[in-house]
Amino acid sequence: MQPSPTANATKRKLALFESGHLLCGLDIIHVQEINKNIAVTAVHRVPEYVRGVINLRGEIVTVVDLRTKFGFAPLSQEAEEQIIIVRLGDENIGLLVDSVSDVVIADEKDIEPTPPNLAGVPGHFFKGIYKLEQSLVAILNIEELLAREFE
Amino acid sequence: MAFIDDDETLQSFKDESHEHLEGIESDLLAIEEAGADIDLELVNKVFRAMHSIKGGAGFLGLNAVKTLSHAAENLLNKIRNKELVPTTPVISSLLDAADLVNRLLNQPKGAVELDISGPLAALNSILSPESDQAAPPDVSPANKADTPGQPASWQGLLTEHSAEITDNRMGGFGIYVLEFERSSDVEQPGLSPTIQTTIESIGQILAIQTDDSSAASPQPTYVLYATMMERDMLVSFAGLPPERVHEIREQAEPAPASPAPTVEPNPIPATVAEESPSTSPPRKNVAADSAGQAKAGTDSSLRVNIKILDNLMTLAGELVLTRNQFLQIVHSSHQQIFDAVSQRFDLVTSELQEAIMSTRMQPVGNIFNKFKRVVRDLAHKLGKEIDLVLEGGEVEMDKTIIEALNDPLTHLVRNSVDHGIEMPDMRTAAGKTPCGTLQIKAFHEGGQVIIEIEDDGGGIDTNRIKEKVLSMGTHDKSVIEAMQEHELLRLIFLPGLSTAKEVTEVSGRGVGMDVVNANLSKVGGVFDIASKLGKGTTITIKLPLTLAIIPSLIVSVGTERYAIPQVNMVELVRVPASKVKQRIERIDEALVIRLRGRLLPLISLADALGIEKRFYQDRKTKQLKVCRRQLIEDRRSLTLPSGADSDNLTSAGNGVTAVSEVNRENHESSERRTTPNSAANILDGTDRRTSPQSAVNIVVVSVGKFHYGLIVDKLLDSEEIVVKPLGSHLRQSQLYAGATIQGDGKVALILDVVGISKFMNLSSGSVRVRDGGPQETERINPDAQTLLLVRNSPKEQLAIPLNLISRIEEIQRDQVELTGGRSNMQYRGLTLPLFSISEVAKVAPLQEDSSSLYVVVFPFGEREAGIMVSEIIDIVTVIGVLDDTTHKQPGIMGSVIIMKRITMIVDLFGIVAAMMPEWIRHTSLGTESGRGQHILVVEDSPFFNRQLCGFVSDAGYKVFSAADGVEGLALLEREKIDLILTDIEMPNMDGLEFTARVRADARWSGLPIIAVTSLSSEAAEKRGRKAGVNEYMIKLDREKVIHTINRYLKH
Repeated sequence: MQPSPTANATKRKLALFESGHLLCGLDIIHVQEINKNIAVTAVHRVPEYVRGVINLRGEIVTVVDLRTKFGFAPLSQEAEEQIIIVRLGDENIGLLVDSVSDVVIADEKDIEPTPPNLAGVPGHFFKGIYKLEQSLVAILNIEELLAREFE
Repeated sequence: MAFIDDDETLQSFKDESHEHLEGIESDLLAIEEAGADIDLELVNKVFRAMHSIKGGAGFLGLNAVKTLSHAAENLLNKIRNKELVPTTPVISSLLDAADLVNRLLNQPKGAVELDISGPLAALNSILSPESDQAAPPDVSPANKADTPGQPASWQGLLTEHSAEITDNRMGGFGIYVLEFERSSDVEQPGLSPTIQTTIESIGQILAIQTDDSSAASPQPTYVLYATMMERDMLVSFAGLPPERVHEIREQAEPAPASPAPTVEPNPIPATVAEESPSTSPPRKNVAADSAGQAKAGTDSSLRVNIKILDNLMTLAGELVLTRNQFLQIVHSSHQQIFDAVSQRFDLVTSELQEAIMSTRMQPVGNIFNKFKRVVRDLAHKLGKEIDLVLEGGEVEMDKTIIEALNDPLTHLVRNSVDHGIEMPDMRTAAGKTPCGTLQIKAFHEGGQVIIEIEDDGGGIDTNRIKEKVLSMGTHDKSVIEAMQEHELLRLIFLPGLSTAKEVTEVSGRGVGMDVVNANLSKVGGVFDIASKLGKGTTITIKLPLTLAIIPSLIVSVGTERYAIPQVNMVELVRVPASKVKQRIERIDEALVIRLRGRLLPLISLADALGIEKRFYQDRKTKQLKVCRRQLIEDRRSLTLPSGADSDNLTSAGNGVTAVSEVNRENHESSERRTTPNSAANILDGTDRRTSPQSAVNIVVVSVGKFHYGLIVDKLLDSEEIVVKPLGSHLRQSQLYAGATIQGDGKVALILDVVGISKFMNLSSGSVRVRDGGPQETERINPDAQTLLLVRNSPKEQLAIPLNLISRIEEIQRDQVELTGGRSNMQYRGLTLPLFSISEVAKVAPLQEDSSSLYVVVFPFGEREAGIMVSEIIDIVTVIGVLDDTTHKQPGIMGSVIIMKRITMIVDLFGIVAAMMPEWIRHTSLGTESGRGQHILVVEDSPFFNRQLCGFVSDAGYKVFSAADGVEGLALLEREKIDLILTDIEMPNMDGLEFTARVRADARWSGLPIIAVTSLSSEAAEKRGRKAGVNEYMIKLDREKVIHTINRYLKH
């Protein structure tokens, strides 16, 4: 992961969001935009974590449900979700999360390696743990997370 | 010569070289064909192409490419100088070299360079048989006769420094002689230091010579100079007048006056090309001034970055979407101005779309030409003689399709050559010519491009396919035995099946046909195969013109919308609720529908997609409602709020409570969800997705010759959709071909009907067995008349011949405008006159109470008109007797009994004649047109006979009528006939035989014969034309028939 060009080499900006009971961070350089209330079209007979597709200004973007990916229970139906659009390779992918909360500047030295299992979620989905004052932020490894599983 | 590390330059060099190489191949083959009788222009063209590649490669430090192209260039030079006859081995070595250059160019940067020694040695051994060393292209003194009047004093420089010149030229440098004046103030010989420094900064001085002998004053100084610069650049850089900069080239063409340099040790003479700056071409087009280039006309095409094109496509797509949105708004308002704007908008969008699409269109010849080489090489290798005939190379298709076609077509061509066409001795033994013919044709048909690969080889032995499939154990013996010939042929698409007796290097490994089929269907291609044992095989591929924007039908299942490309669709069938049990049957676990005496397998789209039932139709409000109980369980139901605001759905939040019946249904369907055929519940009404009372909508789709029906909830609209690719996570799914964005901005997935049938394990073999009488169903009665049933009042049924109409549109009543006492509507940018049948005939008028009505659009001459009706009932095929007396009246041509009801057949011509008499006059169909000439009408059906006789005599002709071919011939003997109008399907002697007999008789061989038929099929038309029919028309298309008669009888 490269640090953001504006930040000091040892610091990186993280977008914080929640998925289930997990507080996650995503290096801001991956984040294209954050959306709310976009109609998701369901797609059937595809991996369960794929919620569907959205129309992002003319581009068809796959939306991955982070809760399903992590094996968490789904959010209640009325709850509002947000979609973080991330760039992976030459493709935009939407991450469905509970809510985006904040952007923090994390010091590299405060980031610790991920334990093999984080609240039931496989550790390889994360790049490290960043310690905030009151809580821990699991930094997403989107390459691993969005690696395609071909069955 | 430094390696230039400039990706852009490298890329553009590669692009350019690929273009050169593409041309080289077919040119070399043409050179080979011409043999000793060489086409100098062609050889020069190849030579120049090789030369350009060599130059660029030297410049970029691509040594292997340079060495190879250099050797090839030398060889070509020999051919050009007629020192070498381009025999097959020579051409082969050149082709191999070109291939290797191509591969070298495709190598990624930094890869280990391919070994070039083999092809290089082959080239060199041809070049100089006595020594195995490549002769370097030395520079020898140019023939002076070539450049009369030029100062020759510096020619000595070239001779002296020929080795250096060669080296530099191989490095891609241009060689020049610069003519400086020794200025008066510089006394010492040579150049002034300033000039020397200047020109040394951009090149290398090879030699300097001062011409003391020259009488010119001041005396010139000649500088032999090597540089990367173009000539015109050099001129300005050196500050010399253009005529003092001489570009030294390898000789482009031997001067006629010079003796053939066969005996010279240095085979490539150099010559001086003197050019005026205005004609100076860039160096990469060296020798573009030779006559050949000018007429080649390759400059008319433009190389455009594909990214730019893709972007343009996206923009065009967006524009189309915006238009769709716009049109929706327009429909809901009444402002006149909106109509005008929308028309304009519509027009511009379509034009823009077309223009942009055209930039992506490429001639299919691009890949056709490659087959010359493929066939040649293969035929040589296998010892076969094959004549390759290419047709329709100019037919254009989308670049993506052309590219995707390359591999499958190559495979098919190789197959044909390898085990289609037999060895010459076998062919002779079979009574064929020893030289086989392979024909590759491309042509347009019905908005699609058809590619046919036809060989006159041994054909495919279906028995061998049978054996093979049985040995694979994938199919039941009974299934295979019951298969029809064409179904057996389709089995070659099974993975792992090859009928080749032995595996050859070329083909026969049992991989391929399935991959070919899969690749073709990816680009929307439909594949078919026909083969006659001992006669040959024809493979037909139907392809869309473009992939980017395709006409599609939008359907819905529950709240979800899907698009089905029209190219996959055969027809739409709606089974009324009362007929469901009667027409839809269950065989084993599969559902089938009885359709025109034939059993069609059905798939429920909801089952295929695994869409769980969440909706039911409220009996009272006819609205789809959400079953709440399942919502809580269903995690995916979160998508609901997005879909629920559309159409007539009530949103999940409305507090709808599920009625008990629905709960029971859900319970059942969830139990059966695991079985793929829960659609079978459609039969007992428990799982009719809307309600047990509703009709079943079926989209009949085709997978090659195999058809099946997709059950959907609703048929929504037909739209031109913009195809967008799916993300990488979804590309694996075989059920979808992509996605599109609808007018409201929502995404709809495009269904892949081939994938769905595979996913549901539906194949032509498995279903046809259950089909009791394939023989009977395959036969289409040519005398059958297909009618569109409509009605204005519940009591009165009307029918319009289906093959006379072009479209059916559903419109709102307020779209009908009354102008000048006539009904019109705006339609596709034009005004469409509308008639109602009751304006002409005494039938029930349109129903006043409904807000919408249907317009049946039909062509009339160059125009179109529409018939308004209240209701469309069905499409039926009648073979029964049509009665043209009882109900005949203006606008009605007769009646027929359909579904136990008297149905009046609408006479479209009669209606136009009554409503728009001036149209008849304009199209010269009035009674004036005939001049009493004699027309023979041969038609067995009394109804059609009277129809035809009626309107032919109305047009002023004298009519003789016969009931079959025998009577027809008898009449021909008795009467003087000017033109024959004949039916095809008749007792005693049918139309084809009748035509053949007429044609065989010298007295009538020149007589125009027009065949009339109830249904037009291309195959029938082909047969008709073969028999000698001049025209092929639809029986009831009065306007066209008369028009054609007039055309033939106009002297």
